[in-house]
Amino acid sequence: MLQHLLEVAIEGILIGGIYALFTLGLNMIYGVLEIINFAHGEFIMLGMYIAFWLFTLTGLHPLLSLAIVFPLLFFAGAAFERVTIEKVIKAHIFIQTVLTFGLLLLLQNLAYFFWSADYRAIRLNFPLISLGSLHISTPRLIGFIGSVVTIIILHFFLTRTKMGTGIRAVDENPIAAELVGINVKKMRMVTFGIGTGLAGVAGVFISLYYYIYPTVGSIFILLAFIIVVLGGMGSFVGSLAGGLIIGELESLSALFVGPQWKEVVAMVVFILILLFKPTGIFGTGGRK
Amino acid sequence: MVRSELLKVKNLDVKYEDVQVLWNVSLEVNEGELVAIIGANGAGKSTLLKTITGLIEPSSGEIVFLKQKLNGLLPHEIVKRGLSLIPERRELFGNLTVYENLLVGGYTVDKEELEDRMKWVYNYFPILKERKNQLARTLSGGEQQMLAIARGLMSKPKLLMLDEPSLGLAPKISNEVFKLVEKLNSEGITILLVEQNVKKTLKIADRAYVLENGKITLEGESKQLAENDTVKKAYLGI
Ligand SMILES: Nc1ncnc2c1ncn2[C@@H]1O[C@H](COP(=O)(O)OP(=O)(O)O)[C@@H](O)[C@H]1O
Ligand SMILES: [Mg+2]
Repeated sequence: MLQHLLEVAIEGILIGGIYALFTLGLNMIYGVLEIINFAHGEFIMLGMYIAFWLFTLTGLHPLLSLAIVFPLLFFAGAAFERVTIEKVIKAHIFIQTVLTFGLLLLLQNLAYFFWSADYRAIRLNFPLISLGSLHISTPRLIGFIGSVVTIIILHFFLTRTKMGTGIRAVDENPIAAELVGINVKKMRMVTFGIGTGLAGVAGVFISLYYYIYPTVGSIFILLAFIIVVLGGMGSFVGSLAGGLIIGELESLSALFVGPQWKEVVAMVVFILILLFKPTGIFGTGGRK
Repeated sequence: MVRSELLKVKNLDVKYEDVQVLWNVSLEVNEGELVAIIGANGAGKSTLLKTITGLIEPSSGEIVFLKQKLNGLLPHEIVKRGLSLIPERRELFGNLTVYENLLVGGYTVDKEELEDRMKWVYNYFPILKERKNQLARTLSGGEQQMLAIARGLMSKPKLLMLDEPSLGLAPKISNEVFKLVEKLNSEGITILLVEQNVKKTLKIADRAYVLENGKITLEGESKQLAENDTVKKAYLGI
């Protein structure tokens, strides 16, 4: 029993790392564009399908498909931002919501139309990894390591490059950023692209162990929202910690309460956070 | 002395929605000058600077900088042409370090030049070098203003515009800011200064404009303005 508990706990951390990755994308978009991308989960879904079809049709290993998924979803996201979101960037939050929620429905329906409602899975045989007598899920471990590497690259980009520092400046104060010579509109486009690209990358990792179907993104967007609220809006560290906590919670609740309850448990936690620490663990209560 | 014209603002009208706040404002700044705009709270001083820098679009009028029209350009494009605004209340990037604030201040500067520029600024503001790894929001009010000015200088502006740099500072620190502005000007940087501290401003400025309820009501050499009865009564409390 103890061994099983330990295995479940490890699994929680592994999926939590992947959750942290897609949440960072959502949180970055929120920070820089001040927009809630309801379609974020659909970019995860697209990442999953692209990995699936590339694997099924050409035999390309899902990890290699990352080299296609990230650029593709980066450009798709950036183009979508430039053509639509940029037009409502100063509009009322209700209008912005209609736009990104509309994109959610559009992408889900396109997925139904082209790929049907069938559940699909990437069937790859991974060698089982054991730590002593503990068995660890190899696809989840790969997804976790991949997410950690991606997060480290993202962090490096944001803190060590000119454009990354510029993005953080826009996140803090878009008017001051424009005044020092940063093309804020371009930064919004790039950030949205990075955010959707990261969602796609996370999708590829999730596709290693999870079913793929048109509405699969809904589960993850709900988790991402909860993680953002838990960790704090706009907080990088908060998304990391929140991801791990929610991943762990999902694993443990599946063991103790039953897997069909995991979303209910997540919702309960969400409400508890709102009651006791509405600004999140690392949040400052939103900006402006 | 004949000085070449750097900035020329012609017949500017500016509205927020339907409310007009600037009426037919014209002014000019020549190379090397320190020009001030003085006026009470709400007169439209910040609106004027924001319009020059491209944050607000005028409903009519022209802004010409180095003989080129700026109308329709975005602020980041205007910065590239050599115009830098240090906004009211500083607007620092509080969660970025001092170093990162400066780095971002030099966003439009080439990589090779950036290091030189950074050295130049550190030389001017040694305190910022000492605190380069500190988050901007942990600096004192005076240090934050120094950082705001330093950040504005990173882009190598030909014209530096400051919006109430002494606002909210203790008298001693405020004096330092005025001295600094004077020093920057004496080293060749052209300055357009907006201030409410009229006395100190008229001491360092070459010329000044008085903005009242969105209209320029007086202009002239600082010395003359300081002797003007209206100015004395309204702004110097004499
Ligand atoms: N964003 C805004 N929207 C509407 N009115 C504004 C805005 N900013 C300033 N105003 C108004 O414009 C006038 C001039 O303001 P401002 O330029 O800030 O004056 P000053 O800098 O001289 O104190 C004031 O009446 C102010 O209330
Ligand atoms: Mg003002």
